[in-house]
Amino acid sequence: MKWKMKEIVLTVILAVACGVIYLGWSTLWIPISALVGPMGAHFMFGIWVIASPITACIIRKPGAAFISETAAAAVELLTGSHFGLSALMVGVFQGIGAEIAFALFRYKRYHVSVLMLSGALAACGSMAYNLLANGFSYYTAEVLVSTLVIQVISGILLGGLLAKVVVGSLVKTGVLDQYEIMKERRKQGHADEYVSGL
Amino acid sequence: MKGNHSWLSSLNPACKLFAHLLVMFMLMAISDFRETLAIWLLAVAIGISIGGWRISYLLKRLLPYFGFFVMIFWMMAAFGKGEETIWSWAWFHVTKESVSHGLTISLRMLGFVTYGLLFTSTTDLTSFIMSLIHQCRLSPKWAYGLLAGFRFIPLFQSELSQMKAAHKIRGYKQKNSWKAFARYSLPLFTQGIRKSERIAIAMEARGFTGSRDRTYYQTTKLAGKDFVYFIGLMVVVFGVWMAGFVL
Repeated sequence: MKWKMKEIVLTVILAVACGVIYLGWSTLWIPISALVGPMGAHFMFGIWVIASPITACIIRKPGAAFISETAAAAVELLTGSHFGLSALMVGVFQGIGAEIAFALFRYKRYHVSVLMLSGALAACGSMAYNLLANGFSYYTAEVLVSTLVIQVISGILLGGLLAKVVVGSLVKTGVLDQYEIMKERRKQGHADEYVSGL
Repeated sequence: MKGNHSWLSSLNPACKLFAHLLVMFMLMAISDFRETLAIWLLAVAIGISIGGWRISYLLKRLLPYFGFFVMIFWMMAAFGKGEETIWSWAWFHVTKESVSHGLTISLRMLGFVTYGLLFTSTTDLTSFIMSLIHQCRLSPKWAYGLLAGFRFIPLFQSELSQMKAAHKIRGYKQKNSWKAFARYSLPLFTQGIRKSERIAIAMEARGFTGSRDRTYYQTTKLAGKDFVYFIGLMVVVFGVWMAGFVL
């Protein structure tokens, strides 16, 4: 499937916007995590995977989830994240996780449940990275399992569900009318609504 | 992200990033805090000798990371597993093993940050993207899309402050920070999407097709010094790693 130029620029710009949000979120995360421990702070995890569901849901092309999450992570690195190179790598892992969710449905379904699944799988990807690089295997088993559970829940809610809310409110503004998300909706018999919208 | 005039900033960006990522992977494999410390100190030494870092710059950029370092150390020390308890209070449980693990992990994170800083502080964004085209075979369509998108980072910032000022002058007071977040982020997103469409159309209107068959104002090449840096860094880091087994 060939990418149009405007889809490429849109993907990058959504990734940039998310990357800026990630950076702010990272700054918030540290004091909280030191206070309540890694478990409590991981409730905040979901925001870090929001780029994938938003972009994939709008563009609806293979690779959109992976590319946007990686680009958002690159933005976080370039703007001076205190996670350094690790911000980039964790983005790659989360992107792969999120991409799997959309690939499972052959890039045909973008229902809110699929977005939630992408958030959950991105959380698993992040966990894989943390075990590999951040020494999460040194935590006690209970801490580890509950961290994973919390991250998955947070990925589902703050990643998947919030992405749906964001995309929903963007759709209402009409800026997405010329992108795949609205084109498909029009094909599915919402044509009347679109004409009256003009 | 701009280059400085150091020797390090004259290197090929893609090659430099690849070298730093390899160091990062080696750091992941090392589980001894002395070796990790040595590799982190190497990054600082590179920064001062060939990276053009001044001591004042180093302090300014690295001091905030030390706070982070303490936090990561504390997290691992207080919540990690271990047998020999040193101190325990409420839900914190500090053991001998968790302290040593905490040191390793926090030094490793510091290493990731410092090698990242070594890259970002000495690399020009445009030449980095160009080297992705020439050395990593990235399609120009994506490369120029990325360049156009990265231009938005300062744009988003100025737009946000403009929006805040516009709200303020009209007497809007943010009571609920969550609501304020929605109020500012939605216009930012919609403006971004509108602009992205305009940029894409403008690029295509000027004959940009994104094909490989084009000329470049700036080209990047791999030179001898890139190999010197790459191999030198690999040898030293690998040497430190192996020294841990011998000693």
